[in-house]
Amino acid sequence: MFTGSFKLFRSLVQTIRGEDSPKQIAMGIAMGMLLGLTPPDNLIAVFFGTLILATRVNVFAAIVSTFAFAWAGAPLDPIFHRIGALVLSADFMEPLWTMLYEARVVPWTRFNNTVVMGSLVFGLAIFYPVYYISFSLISKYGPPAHKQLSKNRVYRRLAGVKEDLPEGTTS
Amino acid sequence: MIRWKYVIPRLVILATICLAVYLGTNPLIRWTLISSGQSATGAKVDIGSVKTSLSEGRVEIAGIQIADPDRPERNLIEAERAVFKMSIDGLLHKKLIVDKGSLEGVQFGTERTTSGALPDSETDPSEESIVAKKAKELLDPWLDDVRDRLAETAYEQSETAQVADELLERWPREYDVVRADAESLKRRVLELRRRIDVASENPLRNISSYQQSMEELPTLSQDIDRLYRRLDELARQVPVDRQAILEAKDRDKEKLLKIARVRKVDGDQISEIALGEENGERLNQITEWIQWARATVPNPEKDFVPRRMRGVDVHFGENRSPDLLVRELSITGSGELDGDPYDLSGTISDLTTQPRLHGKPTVVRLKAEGDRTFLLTAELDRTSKVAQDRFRLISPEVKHGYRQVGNDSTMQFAFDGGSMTLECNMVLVGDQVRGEIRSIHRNVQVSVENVGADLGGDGVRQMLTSSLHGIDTFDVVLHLSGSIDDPDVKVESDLGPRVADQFQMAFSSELDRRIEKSLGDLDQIAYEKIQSLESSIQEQHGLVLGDLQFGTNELARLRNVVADRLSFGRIR
Repeated sequence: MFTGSFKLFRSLVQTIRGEDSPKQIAMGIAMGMLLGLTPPDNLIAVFFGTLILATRVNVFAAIVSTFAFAWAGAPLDPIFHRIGALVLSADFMEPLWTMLYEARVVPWTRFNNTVVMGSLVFGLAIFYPVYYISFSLISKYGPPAHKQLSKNRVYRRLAGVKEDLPEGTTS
Repeated sequence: MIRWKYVIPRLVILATICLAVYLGTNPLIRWTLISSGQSATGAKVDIGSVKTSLSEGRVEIAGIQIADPDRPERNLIEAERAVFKMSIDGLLHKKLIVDKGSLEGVQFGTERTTSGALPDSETDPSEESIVAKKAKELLDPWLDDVRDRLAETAYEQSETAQVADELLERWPREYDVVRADAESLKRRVLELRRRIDVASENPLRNISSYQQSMEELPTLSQDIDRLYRRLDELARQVPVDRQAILEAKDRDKEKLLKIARVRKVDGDQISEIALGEENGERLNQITEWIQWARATVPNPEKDFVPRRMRGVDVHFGENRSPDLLVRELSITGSGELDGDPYDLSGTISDLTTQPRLHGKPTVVRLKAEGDRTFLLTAELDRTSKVAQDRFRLISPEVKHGYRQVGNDSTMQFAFDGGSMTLECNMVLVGDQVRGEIRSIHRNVQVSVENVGADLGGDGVRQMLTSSLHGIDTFDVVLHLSGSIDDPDVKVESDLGPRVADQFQMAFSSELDRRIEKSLGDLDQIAYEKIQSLESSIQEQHGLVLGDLQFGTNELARLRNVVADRLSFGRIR
């Protein structure tokens, strides 16, 4: 039972740490950015959170990215508000917005809030640039960092890294 | 093939999140209700427990206590249980629509085990009723006028007494001076006699002494004559002063007879003093409830605005509905009013935070049955910019016990037994109120319990009470207008006008009686003062006269002795 619990714990840690190819880490960062910029009290945030858990992205990177972008995005509320107001007040979009507003469940997304809409639009707009930049940086600096961290026993335990690692491997 | 290594950890995380939401929903709702309730009422709100069932759309709240901000040791309202059945469709549209709710075990004014005051909150002390204050302002001038007229009849301050007292003070002083002179004269005469007696031991040797005495005799005689003249003057003054007292008495009598009659009193003024205090308290209670109801029903301008909202919610479509709406809330409970218990039942309908969107006023219907019965209908309309409210309260057959109103230093009325039917209709537009509170009193014994001594005391009280005899039914109407915070109140009743004439007659009779008594007393005083003056003068006059007569007689004798001695000396 104890072994089973430890295995479950390790799986949880592994899940949290997540898949760790540069692509998956970069995707985790980008999706975390989307989640972090969005105000938390709506279904859109829940959707992004579920997406992070359901897909093969690095969840740990996503969590760190969420906190980082939530903190950095708070002062950007006025910009999000302007973007959101622009989008929501577009005449040609009004029939769509009205249909969504009167539908069931959709109001819980709070899409009709200017900051929610603005942060979503902004986040989607910078999604690929964030992904690309993250991928480039991780590809370049990731392996050396992992090699350095692998010298730490706790990191090795948590990460499940074997003692003697050939150079260049990441797990 | 299912990758369990992949699926299980994710399921565990999902389950953890669901469990957290499930366990945290009820405390979150409880915390939200308490903080918003305290913000709305300004007093402590306690909630026992909250149970939610999202699948049924049902919320159950137990142990609700909302403290009274004016009396922190008591609850404004307490309820055992509140159950709300919410519309699932509304929830899916992010709207809290309660189709049916119930509030059970409602009680008002129950005692608390802990203080209901929030930190830094202050309570205002209760004020005197508006109507009682106004009643005093209206009737006090008339009572003061009566009091002043009655005071004018008092003879202690009359001119007669003043003049007589002045004379009684002056005359002794006058006679003191005369007496002192008379005594001085008497001593001189005695001294002369002594010298003459001494000289008589050896007349030949003391001839010069006799000659001296002879020269002194005329002076003494003149002084005695002068004093006799002074006495005559004083004696002539006595009738003059007597006449002065009598003339003062006549003037006092004239003044008494000229005291104006008691002014006619307005029957409404009597109604105000007799009925103002009790009805004023009733009015205070009703206006407090109205002010509380208006403060509690959401104000679209001020209430339920989120403190910090990120962004602005844009609304689409034409058929908007409010975010929070209670279509119908049934209420059951019990209470006590002036010691009379009652069972309460009723409904509140269309209670919402956005009445302009909903387009319907909130309607409250409450019914109380038991030792106290009343029917209350209130319509609180916040659908337009200006709040418009209507209140109607009917309370049939409220039994009364003994009660006393008024001031024991002026006038106190007593009402005993009987019953009252109360009907209150009020319309409020903004903060302006217009309406009336009508009460019909039956089988009530009305009497005057106390009349201040300076207003006639017990005699007037008996006359006033007998004027109220036979009146056991009357009605009272309080007309309200102006601001609800400080309304203008006019008390109308058929009680006052029915007894106004008798009231005026009672005080007029008392005034007449006092005038009559004072006239008699003046005669008595004048007589007594004159008697006292004359007897005092007579006594003093007698004493001085005695001294003077002694002096006169002694001088005559001494003159003869001296003359005799001198002639004998010459012959020798």
